[in-house]
Amino acid sequence: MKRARVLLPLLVLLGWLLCALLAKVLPLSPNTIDLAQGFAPPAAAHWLGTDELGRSIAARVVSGARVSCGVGLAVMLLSLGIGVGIGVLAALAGGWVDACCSRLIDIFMAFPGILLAIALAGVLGPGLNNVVLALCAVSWVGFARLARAQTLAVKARDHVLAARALGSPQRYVIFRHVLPLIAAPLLVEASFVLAGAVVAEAGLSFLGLGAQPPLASWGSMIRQAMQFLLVAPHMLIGPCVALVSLVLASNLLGDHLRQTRQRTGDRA
Amino acid sequence: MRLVLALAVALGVATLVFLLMHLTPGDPVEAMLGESASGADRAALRTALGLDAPLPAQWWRFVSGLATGDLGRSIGAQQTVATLIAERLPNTVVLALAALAIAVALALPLGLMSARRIGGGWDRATSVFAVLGMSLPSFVLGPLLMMVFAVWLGWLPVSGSERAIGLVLPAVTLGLALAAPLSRMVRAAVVEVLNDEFIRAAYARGLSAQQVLWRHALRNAALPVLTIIGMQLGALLGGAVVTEMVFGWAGLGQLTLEAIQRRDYPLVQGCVLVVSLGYVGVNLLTDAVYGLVDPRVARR
Repeated sequence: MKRARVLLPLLVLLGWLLCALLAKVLPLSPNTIDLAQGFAPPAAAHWLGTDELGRSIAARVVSGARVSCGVGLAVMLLSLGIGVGIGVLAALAGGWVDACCSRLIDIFMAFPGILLAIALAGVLGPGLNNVVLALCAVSWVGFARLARAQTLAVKARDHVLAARALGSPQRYVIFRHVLPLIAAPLLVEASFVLAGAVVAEAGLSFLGLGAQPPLASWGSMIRQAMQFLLVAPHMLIGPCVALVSLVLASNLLGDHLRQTRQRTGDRA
Repeated sequence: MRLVLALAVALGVATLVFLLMHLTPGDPVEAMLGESASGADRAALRTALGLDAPLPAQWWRFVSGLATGDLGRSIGAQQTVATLIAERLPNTVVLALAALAIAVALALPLGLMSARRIGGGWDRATSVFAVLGMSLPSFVLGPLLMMVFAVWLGWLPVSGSERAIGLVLPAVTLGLALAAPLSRMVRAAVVEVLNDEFIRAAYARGLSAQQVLWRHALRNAALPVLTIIGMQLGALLGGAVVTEMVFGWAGLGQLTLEAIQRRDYPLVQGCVLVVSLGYVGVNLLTDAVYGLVDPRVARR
């Protein structure tokens, strides 16, 4: 039971990653239009039915994983890099550098994230690259704040002082003595950012600001399904279940990591 | 002091919105007129928008206009941005407040119940509800609720902001999303308070569990809970954009999106700014309310 709580989300996450990796290789035809087959309910030929153009929803859900996982991972890694870089440097530099970075963080924190992302994506124009850019602009702040606070706590520890006293270069101190110690909380934040980015990408695509047709994205599929809610409610199921399962898995994993960390933290 | 700090952040927010609109690649004039427009037309629009001035001068005009409530003119609709926003703002505020009420009404009892017996049945049920709620974005929950209550059962209208009953589904959608994290925060805050000495003292005086929980624990847990509510209100305003789109609710979110689609840059700028400043204002207000709820803060 305890095991299942970690294994299940992990399996779901890996499953979608696998879908994302293999979507191009598998014999799927997410963009093949067959008007005669339009609005077909779920059946043996099309597990999740077809959409208004007769495209297989199951195939589109699988290839939609490519967009979701790709954007989610890209945003997570990029904003992790930017945020940790700014946070660690601010904490180590101190003085006016720290003051400037902190104010910048305050200002970004003062924005409702998703709104900033919507406005940015709108101004930059539709497309997945711009979605990644817009979401990074929002997501780095959390990492930066966390990294700064953690580094401040670690920086005064004896082993860091000792390394400094031995004349270790700054870069060595950061990578060898600071980053390993602050990695755990950042990992927790990363899993929540992944979930957040997947939701945000779907949200932007839902609003028509993300993936552009005919590219299949779960968000844009939900948008389509909404238009045909009365005619073909089955169109809603596939993308909704896919999105929620991925986000749920990522959140559960983050929750578990946080709890584990708290427990080991208590012991230490 | 707090007011000064909030003003500084507000100025920073305004500057960031300004830079966002002016430094992003892509020329608004080109986007608005299309590629076939003549050079003279472009120059005329550029002058009309004040885009020919140097950047610092534009920034100064923007910020000083802001101080007098002037947000500029919309390009598509022949109205000032302020009028357009004033038309839609009440709808969004009503939606946000209704969602907040639903969220608090759900999260308080859920959080309290699960804090009473950590690891108990209620606790586990609440945590499932919380994780689910946090993983159900409004554009998933909204259509699902719509399908069940509007299409199958026919109890509620599918969309629209004309009648009060149209508020139910969007408010529930938005409220559930807020209730999920809120219930966890209430739980954490109450658990912390319950470990305090004065709780044991209250039990020792012979008070019932109910009295201790509602009178002593909840009041002392109110501070962190209020902070979370304040912080979540910003997320609420952002989430309202998507929820409004799902249900065709004519609020600020829908206006923002229309503005983006029409490439009405001054209007986009105004909408983002108003929501962000509202968020800063709410956080300031939360700070002010602290003193009322907990006299210890005011004395400090």
